[in-house]
Amino acid sequence: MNLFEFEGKQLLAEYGMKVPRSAMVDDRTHAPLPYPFVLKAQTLSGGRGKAGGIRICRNADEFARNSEEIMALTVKGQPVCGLMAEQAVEISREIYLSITLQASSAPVLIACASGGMEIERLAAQEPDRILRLPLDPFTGLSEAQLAQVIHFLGLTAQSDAHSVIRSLQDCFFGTDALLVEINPLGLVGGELVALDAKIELDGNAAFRHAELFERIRAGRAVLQNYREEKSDGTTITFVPLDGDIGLISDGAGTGMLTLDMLTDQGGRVASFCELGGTTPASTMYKAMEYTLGSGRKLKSLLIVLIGGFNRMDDMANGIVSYMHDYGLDLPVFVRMVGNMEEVGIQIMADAGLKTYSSLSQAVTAAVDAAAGRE
Amino acid sequence: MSILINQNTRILVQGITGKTGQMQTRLMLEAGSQVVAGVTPGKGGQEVCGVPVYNTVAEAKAAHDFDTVVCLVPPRATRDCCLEAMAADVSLMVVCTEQIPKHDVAQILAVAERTGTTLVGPGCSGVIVPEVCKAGSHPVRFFKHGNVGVVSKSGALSYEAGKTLTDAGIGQSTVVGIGGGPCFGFTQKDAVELYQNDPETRVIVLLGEIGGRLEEDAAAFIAQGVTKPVVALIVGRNAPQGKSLGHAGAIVSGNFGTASTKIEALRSAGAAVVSSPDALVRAVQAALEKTEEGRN
Repeated sequence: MNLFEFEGKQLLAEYGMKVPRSAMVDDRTHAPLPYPFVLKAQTLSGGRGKAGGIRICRNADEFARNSEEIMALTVKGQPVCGLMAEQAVEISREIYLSITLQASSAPVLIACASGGMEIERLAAQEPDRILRLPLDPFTGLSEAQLAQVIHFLGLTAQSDAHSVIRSLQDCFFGTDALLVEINPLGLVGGELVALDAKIELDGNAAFRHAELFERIRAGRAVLQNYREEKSDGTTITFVPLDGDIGLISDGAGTGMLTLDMLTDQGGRVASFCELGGTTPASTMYKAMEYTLGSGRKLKSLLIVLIGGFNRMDDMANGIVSYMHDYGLDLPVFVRMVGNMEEVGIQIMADAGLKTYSSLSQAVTAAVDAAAGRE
Repeated sequence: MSILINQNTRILVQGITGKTGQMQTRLMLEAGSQVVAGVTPGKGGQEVCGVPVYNTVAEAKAAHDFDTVVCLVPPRATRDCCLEAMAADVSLMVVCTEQIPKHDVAQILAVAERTGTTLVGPGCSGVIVPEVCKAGSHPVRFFKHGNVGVVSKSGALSYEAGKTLTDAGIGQSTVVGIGGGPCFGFTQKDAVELYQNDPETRVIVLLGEIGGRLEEDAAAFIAQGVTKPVVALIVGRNAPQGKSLGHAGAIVSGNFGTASTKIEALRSAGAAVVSSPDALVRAVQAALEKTEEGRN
């Protein structure tokens, strides 16, 4: 779960980090802070500064104009969901600081003596100026590592450096975060202040932080242009593509393999739908709803099942009950093998549905049907 | 021989009384595995398929000798279960559970490293030595004993490859599913290294997918001196940018993690890279014939 800047800053402040005074804009005719202040787009995408999503407001006219213009922006495909007003500050230095567990198997602290840019660009341009420290996942930064970071950033004379880095790490571990990024961490009037915050929480750890997740959800009511993406409670991954062959698989690897095989044979896939984990009949039913109910006219549907944890009787029951409820008015090809396949194939046969054992035969049949070939 | 497990492997199942635990225990026993004990807190004294259940790993350890643990517990219990198992001095841990909190995964992997435990997973299908035993979810019907060593990220893809090879009459020495990532204990490179040193394995099959850089690491290792033929299949060539395709680790961002960089790395390392299961069979067949000629 990605957090907006205002949520990230609030969380960091709770862990003891200094942040500039700010207020969310809930009425665009009423300035929430005394002028001048900075108006900042609240969006889940990076790069909002460049897109014009951060502007200074010195008076009511500028506030009215800027708030309207910023709300109309789209930043890298993401809408601007709300506006935050933040006290304008004098920054004498900018630093990059983050801890991430997004793509590594141990937490990594990343620091750079200059901040403000995207870290990917910093890494490409000045790799020597970036410090990466793997952290112990139980105890975090050691005293020696803490000293190393402070020295690397040239902050030895800065008395609040210890507590800032501690706050960052406490926030990271305390919330089960996948990313806590402060970019930039600014030197403002001799103090280190988080001028931006990018935090990603781990949805799989939500059970340990029910109160926090609920508080964030409720807090988003302040956003004028935000629609919550409801989870359907299943493990399904559904990715719309732009072809005409529906694809459902009970494994990510076989789903990707089938996507490649269909494409290699000239087929165009309408959507990728993977069931995930050990799934009941209701998940298969849901997958059929997503795939066939997308509003697009599909020419054929290919279901690729190879059960290890998954049971083929459950999968067959899901397919057949969807057929009973909605009918199937397109050619459907089901490859069904694995755990409980005898029962599954029988359930399918009783419903008049044929199954395949060979993946390549099922793929060819689905492509042929979509192309109008027998 | 095989890699990771063999006929002497003795298994403890964590979460043995759950729905998945019971079914997978029965299937492992049917596959010839020695499942000697199970653990579910609060269910000590029960039996599952004749296997005694204990409240803790330590209690089970006092009564039985086992070297391998298969973890089939829900995500929120996985970290504590893994730490408990690794404290009992096991050499192999197979963690099938998916959707474990990432901080927990980091701790599990750190402990595995400290204790020298080989940890396959998390979120994996585990290991099968066809017609001998298994520690995980591979359906025995797809596999037959032979000389091809298979390693895959995806469990389903390892079944698919096993089925295709077996249908063509080609058996496997061992098949390992290491999980969809993005964090891994045992890697493709680790498997390639074990297969290179396993006398029974004559051809290595590497099944990879988009995301991360495990395939590139394996390729670098292959280039350094793997002498056995390697046949590789990388899926996700037609995946859209920036979308996770079912495995959290299966994501392409920019030029990183693409199928083409992996295919290129494996080709340069001397692997035969194929694009479909049928082509996989042909390439493995050709490689087996070549190793046969080398022997004669």
